[in-house]
Amino acid sequence: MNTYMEALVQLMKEGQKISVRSLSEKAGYSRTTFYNYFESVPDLIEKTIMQELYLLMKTVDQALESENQNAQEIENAFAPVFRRILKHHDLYEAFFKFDCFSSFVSRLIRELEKRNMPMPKLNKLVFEDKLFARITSSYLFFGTVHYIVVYPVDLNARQTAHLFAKSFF
Amino acid sequence: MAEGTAQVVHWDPRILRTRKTISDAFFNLLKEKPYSEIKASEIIERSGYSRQAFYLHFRSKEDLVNKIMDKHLSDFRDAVEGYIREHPNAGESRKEIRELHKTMFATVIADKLKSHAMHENECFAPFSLMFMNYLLNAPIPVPLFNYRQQRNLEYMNMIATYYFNATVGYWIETDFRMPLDKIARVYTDSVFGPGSSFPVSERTGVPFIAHENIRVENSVRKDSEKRSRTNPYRGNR
Repeated sequence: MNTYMEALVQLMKEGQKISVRSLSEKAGYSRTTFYNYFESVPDLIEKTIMQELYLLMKTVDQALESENQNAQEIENAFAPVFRRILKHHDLYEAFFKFDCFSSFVSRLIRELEKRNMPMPKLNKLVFEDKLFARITSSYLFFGTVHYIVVYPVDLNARQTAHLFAKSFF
Repeated sequence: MAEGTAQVVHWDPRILRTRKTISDAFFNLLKEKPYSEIKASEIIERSGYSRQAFYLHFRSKEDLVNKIMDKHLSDFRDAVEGYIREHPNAGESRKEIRELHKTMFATVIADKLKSHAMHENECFAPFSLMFMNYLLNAPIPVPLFNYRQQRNLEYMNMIATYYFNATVGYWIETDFRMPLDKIARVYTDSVFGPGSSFPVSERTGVPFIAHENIRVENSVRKDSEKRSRTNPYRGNR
């Protein structure tokens, strides 16, 4: 299953035609194998989004288990999250680049908004509202992801977490 | 939208009115049921126009969604760029920046029905990326650094863009409880607040991967729904 997902990202990156045939060639399996796992190409896309969303949210949940009261704590907690994203850089680049993946963005932000992301101190100065703080912190997290994935910056997970934590305090 | 795209500008108020009625009917249906269950025939029935009228303007339900997104983005772009043309010193003081952002927030409140529909339904998901890509490269001032000591211009640009989106999201989710004046103040005070250094030239010139292959999904799904990116309004017969 993962081989097909990787093949999908590779083919998109190379700008080639996406079909069950080309995917199977890339993955090195027969076309029958594809249909054992997926109904169609849109189904593969959907499952890729769902799997990554699930795995990423698992790391985010782990990060949220710690206190996250100051910048240092946020940095320590979120470094593993960014490590995962940097490890799957190609996949995330595709999420930002191709429209068929665009629902990942809105779904991730929805998921983040449900959780207690660290609250930006800044908002408490300007405008006190829990909902506002929750939404902005979700977007700030996602903005940081967007930044490290799309811009040609050479940051490691810890530096990214530092950048993210600093945007709060 | 790609540079140099030939776009037909529709000025005829009758055409605009028909399209508005049809998309409003669609937004109302979205409140009742998910996108996948809505049929073109229901949109037609709700709008009160004939089948011919609908297909004169849109090729399909998907085409309607794409045109709504394109129209919304081009309206937003016209509002922002028009404002900047008329106010060349739009980034010179906090007050000027707030006025500029008031224009941007005004496009959101102009059509509450549309804003709600676009925020809440996944069929408009490609829009958020289109919109952020536009904002990231738009000629809008960005703070050089804020009082959180960020001095990385590209990152500040990203933060400002996402903060804007978050503020818009909050505004829609609270059903526009806050007046336009106040929401613009909340946003600009957060991003361009005391301690931030501004203005910084324009957002242009930032290295950014262009949004390619914008609607892969349609070409993957059905060839009949394949849409021409060169002229988004070619559907008129």
